[in-house]
Amino acid sequence: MLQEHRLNEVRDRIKIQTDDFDINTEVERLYRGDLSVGAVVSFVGLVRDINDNDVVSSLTLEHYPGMTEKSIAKILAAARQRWQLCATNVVHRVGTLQPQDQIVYVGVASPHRGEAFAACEFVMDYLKTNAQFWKKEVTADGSRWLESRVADKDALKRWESPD
Amino acid sequence: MINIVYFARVKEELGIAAEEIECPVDGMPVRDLLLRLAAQHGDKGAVLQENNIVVAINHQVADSSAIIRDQDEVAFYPPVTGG
Repeated sequence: MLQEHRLNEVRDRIKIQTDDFDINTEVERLYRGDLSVGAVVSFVGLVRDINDNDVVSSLTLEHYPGMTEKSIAKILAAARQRWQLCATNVVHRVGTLQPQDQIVYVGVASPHRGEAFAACEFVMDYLKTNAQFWKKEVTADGSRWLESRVADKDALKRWESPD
Repeated sequence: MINIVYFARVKEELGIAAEEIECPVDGMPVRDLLLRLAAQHGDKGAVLQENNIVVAINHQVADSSAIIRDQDEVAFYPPVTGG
């Protein structure tokens, strides 16, 4: 039976790709065939045109094949420890992107919206600090590697104390 | 052999993505490997001495006292900036 099969299967999907993604397709992966899903929360990250007051013409993302996927899997497992989740889906692009391009998709399906909202934010916060991606920006002054941001580390503090 | 891989700014400053070195029979601590690689790369090797550079052994973040064994994959990279 489809339903019984799904109940025993951990549905965590992790995809790192150069190609763009379609939000509707990614959302459907989270709930199609799983009647226990009552809520899907999606986050989409985009390339901005301004960073640190400079106009960004393009952004190049690099990752560590193998380790990056494992790090994301650990984040998803941690989210499953905290919340009741039906499915998770992370798509992260690498390669060269322009302003307005989609960089990352994080989707979470749960029976209830509260858990889906919280888990989506949790996964995104940890993705920023614990997954092996690096960004290089091209501006009028040339190119530069981005430094990790203190604000991203600070964002994790809210998850450290019990809810 | 120890398989060494570099990412992002570390890779760019060293000018290589990967290299291999012979592993001592008893293995070697991360800090010894770092000193050796930094010396080997001369001026460019300075990036490996920056204190925020992360080391991972076989896809697990490690500290400078961790022991590297033959056939291990050791990565050096700057703090991550994804999402």
